[in-house]
Amino acid sequence: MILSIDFGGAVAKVLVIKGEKFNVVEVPLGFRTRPRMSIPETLRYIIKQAVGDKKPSAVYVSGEIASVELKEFLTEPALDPIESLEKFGLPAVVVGAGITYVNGRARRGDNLALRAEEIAHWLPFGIKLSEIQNFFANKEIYPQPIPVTDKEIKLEEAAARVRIRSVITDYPSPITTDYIIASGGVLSKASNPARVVLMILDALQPEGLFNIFLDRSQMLPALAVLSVFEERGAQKILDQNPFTFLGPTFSVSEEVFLKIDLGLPEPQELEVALGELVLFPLETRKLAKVSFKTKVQQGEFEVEGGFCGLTIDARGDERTKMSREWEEALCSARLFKK
Amino acid sequence: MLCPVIQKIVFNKKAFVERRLGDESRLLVKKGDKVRPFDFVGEIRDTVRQRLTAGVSGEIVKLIPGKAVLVQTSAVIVRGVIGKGEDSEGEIKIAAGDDAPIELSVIDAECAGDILIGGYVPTLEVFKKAEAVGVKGIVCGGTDFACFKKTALSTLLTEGFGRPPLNREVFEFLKRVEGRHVFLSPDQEGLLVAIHLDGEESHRELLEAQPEEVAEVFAELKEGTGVQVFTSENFGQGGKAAKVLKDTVEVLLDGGEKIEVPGRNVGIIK
Repeated sequence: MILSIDFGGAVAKVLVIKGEKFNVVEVPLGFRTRPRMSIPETLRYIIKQAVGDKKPSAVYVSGEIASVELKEFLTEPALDPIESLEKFGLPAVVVGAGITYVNGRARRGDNLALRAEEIAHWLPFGIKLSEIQNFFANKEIYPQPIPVTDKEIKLEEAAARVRIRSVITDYPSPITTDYIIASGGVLSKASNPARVVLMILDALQPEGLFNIFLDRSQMLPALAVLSVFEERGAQKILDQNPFTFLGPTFSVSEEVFLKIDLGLPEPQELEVALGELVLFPLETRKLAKVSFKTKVQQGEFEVEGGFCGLTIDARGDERTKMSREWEEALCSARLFKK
Repeated sequence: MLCPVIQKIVFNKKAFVERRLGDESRLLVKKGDKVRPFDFVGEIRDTVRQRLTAGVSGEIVKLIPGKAVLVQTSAVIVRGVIGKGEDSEGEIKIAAGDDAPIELSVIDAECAGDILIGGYVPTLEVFKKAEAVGVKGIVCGGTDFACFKKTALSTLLTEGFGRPPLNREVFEFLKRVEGRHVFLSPDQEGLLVAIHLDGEESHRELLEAQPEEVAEVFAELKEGTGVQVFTSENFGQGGKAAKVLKDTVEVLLDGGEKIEVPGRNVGIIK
């Protein structure tokens, strides 16, 4: 049995690998109040919670931790989470408690209480800045609680947009991949996967065709560490398709007319005006040929439907703000089988 | 269901209080001396002679010649969650109830030298006035993040940001020791209330009130356990676990309301 642990944040994620099988165990790590555990005590606690008294044959960890006492537990020294994600090399957005990672670009430790105005910009309701500041300052002290109310959920989603946008702004080069894996608490645990599609579209603002996968078990950082030390083991897990395909998105900055050929006698026609966001119900694994035409361009592509169908985003510059209308367009739509 | 343990008050048999006089002072005690709160431990010879008291009952365990002494004492430590400002000391003054604001109107010249206790600080003006009249520090349940960032006054928040009430048991304890000379260490997130070794009654009172430090960081949540809630709508409120379900817990809040929250959103109060 091999353990690969993502140590950072409010909840440790333990990837437990037994032969060909694997599962992810989440271990909440409590608050930053007292009493507190030392890092070796915490690691011992995580392992105990994940596998009881069983002795793993190897333990790998990602996290900004360093202590001589850790040699007792670890097969290899702890890896920096950003470094291991970079080495892993999969296109990914990870919004973790301590890091925000976007395709090899990353930021550490954003103080969100100091970014209340930016966060407010992404909220579909009015709120006092002091409430935003207090909410995120309290999360620093009590990172473990999960959002429950609509307001808490939207605050966290708005903060995720700000964090991802910051990475993009810090390293202004275009996203060159045609897909991305979304991971980290606010994304992986989203109440509705369509919310993830909206967060990714708002924050990454891709152009043209783009595919979104979701890491629902938040295993990506732990899998990245595993891949550094046991590449074949990580590949075996990847071969089992551990990520949920949310679906393709097609983004343009103008009005677009689409013909979606599902193999039926007549293709379905769809007109999406500038400023609109539409979810087309293309079922999971269902293939479609799509031809599109705008004032300045035309073309065609093939897509496969995902959990959230096919999303057409013609919001253009309007993508930099939040609207209840767009949220409803995506989040009230029917979802398909994974 | 395992939940994080939060210990608000700890009895520490071996607490240390440093009494610092500054350069070129003369110490009046030696290692091993037993001292009481009003005994002088040193003096500074300047234009006017200034003397410093021990502040607590205890034993002198270390001397830094010409500068400071370290007194070992027994104390109750009130633990906060975040503090700012320099170490400070003063007399405890209850300035508001456990869930009430410390109002601007209660702060006057008579508060000079005091450590104010109350539910929360509602505005930056309260901090400013407190500083202006010579208040030595504030210990409260919470205040807004922006006020906390801007104030220079020694401050300890016992629960967090916003307007969470100061934990009821902590408040009752501080009420019992109102007027006591205490030591605020924002950096250490603690308020040290030394016991009077020769005052049998207060000694017993403190010992009864306070458990020694717990070792466990997580504990099994059981019905009837005292908890604190950390969802935004009830942030910082205390109560009791009424029913423990698979992933959630029903909490009967101190105010009488019953709510259901995820188990991850509560802490066990020890």
